[in-house]
Amino acid sequence: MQIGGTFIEDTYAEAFTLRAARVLITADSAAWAEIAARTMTGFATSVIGCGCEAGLEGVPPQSTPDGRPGVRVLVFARSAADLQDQLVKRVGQCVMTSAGSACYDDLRGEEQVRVGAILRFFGDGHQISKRLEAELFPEAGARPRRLWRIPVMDGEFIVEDRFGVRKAVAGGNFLILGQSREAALAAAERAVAAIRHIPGVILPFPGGIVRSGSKVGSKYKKLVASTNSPYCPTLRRDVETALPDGVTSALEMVIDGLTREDVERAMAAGLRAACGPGIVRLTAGDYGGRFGKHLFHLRPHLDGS
Amino acid sequence: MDELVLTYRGSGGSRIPLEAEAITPDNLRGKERGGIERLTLFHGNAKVPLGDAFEVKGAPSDRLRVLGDLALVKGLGQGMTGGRLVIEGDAGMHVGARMSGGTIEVRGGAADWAGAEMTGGLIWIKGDAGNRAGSAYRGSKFGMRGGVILVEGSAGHEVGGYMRRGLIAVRGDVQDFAGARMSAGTIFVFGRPGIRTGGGMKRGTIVCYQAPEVLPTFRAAGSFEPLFVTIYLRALAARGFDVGRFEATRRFARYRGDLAELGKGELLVAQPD
Repeated sequence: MQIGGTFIEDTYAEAFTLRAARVLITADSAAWAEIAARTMTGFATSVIGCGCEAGLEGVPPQSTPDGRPGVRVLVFARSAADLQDQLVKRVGQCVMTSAGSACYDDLRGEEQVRVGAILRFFGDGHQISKRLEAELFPEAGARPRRLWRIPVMDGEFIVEDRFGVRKAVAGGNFLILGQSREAALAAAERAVAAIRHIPGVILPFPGGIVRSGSKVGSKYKKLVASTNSPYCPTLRRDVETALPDGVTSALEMVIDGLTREDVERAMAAGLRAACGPGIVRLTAGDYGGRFGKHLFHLRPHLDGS
Repeated sequence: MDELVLTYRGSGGSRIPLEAEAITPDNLRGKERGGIERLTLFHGNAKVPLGDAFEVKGAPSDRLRVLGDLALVKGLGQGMTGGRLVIEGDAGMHVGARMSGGTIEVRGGAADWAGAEMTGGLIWIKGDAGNRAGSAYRGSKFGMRGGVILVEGSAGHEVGGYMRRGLIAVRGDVQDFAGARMSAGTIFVFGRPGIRTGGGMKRGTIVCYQAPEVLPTFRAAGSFEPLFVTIYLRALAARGFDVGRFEATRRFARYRGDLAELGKGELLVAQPD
């Protein structure tokens, strides 16, 4: 299959199940909401080294509980307990500290983790809870929502008591193999721009792009992952390379989504956008089905998109 | 949609109220019309079959409409757990008292004790509410412990007295002792508050859009822009309870009290822009 002169390899990406939460951050301006969100999602590229994967959803919320501008953040971790740990740290250190911010749950999940319920103690006994009665806030379902008002130096920090957690899909990916570093980067940027329009997904790596893709395992026993040597152009003569002739640069797109369908939509949009001049091939991290239980075949997504 | 309609035949000039706790969507749902007409109500100490006091029409369902001059019909929707009850006109005392779920719409006013000690559900009073809406019965420790009471008119004394949780919003004026001895929950007063608002409150919030006479046992604690007020007002507006110009008010003076009690309650008083 070829699109715009780019060959689409007949392979699949392997993704895995993580737990996800969706955080809605509001502030006095969109700029300040984004500052809080970007601070919260710093050092959150991979569960392997960061404890969670997090990023800003590209599609802004239609409305927010307090009517102010808001940004949605998706956070993925291995378990609900890990997610709670990460949310408490990140909301506490990065959102509560950000001027004028408030932080709401934006995912009705299968289970819930405590966030405001723990952060409230920062109020040193002066915190106040407000239960949002189901009769006025029907979106909460049977369980009423609870907000904590924590006194801070610019007024009050509002944070939701609990956040919904849901099983989600992480690690959807594809590789862009370019004739030059510039061409590969331009293609990856096109893919990022296209995926930003898809709700329910994030690209957790810097700018949405990974330059240091990894393979499973290492010659060093302590490492669970190491550089993806078959795709490193400088190792073309040292290892069995996966790079076709004429390829001098490879970049990877990693996509986490709330559902399999969200990831599929994002992959289709990204793959199509990445095709074009200077891009020799699009492929994916195929580990023989050993890495993740969710398989995303590249070609059918493009057929259907 | 199926709906059961009960039309009150009137008291026949008697001033003795009719005790109608049996009239709830829960109690009438699933019953044949004959069974409904045989339900017992009390008129003073006399038992009265429901069918003698009300004309019963429509199909039994969890939607119930009650018509007629009901000002002396007490306890409509009392203790209901779900469904919808519409009262076309004024409701007597104790409407929705101790209810835990469902919706009551009173298209007129409601007498005293509306929603007293309720734990959930919504009571929407289009007219005025009497005394002690959402409050505790005498001797009880807590008033309403959940749910919402919306009053489009004014309300009487001791609204939300001993309130433990939930929300009360009154578009008009309230009389004295609103939120007296409350221990949690939120009361919005968009009209003029009476005297001794929040007297004896331990915790909880009373939001006033007109300045109350603040008790000397409350301490001024500066002013701020409480975001949660905006959240509530947006939710009220989304539900159809008109908050109009009040949504624009952002800054509130804060008074902590009642210092004669725990002192962790708050009186928020809207500040002019």
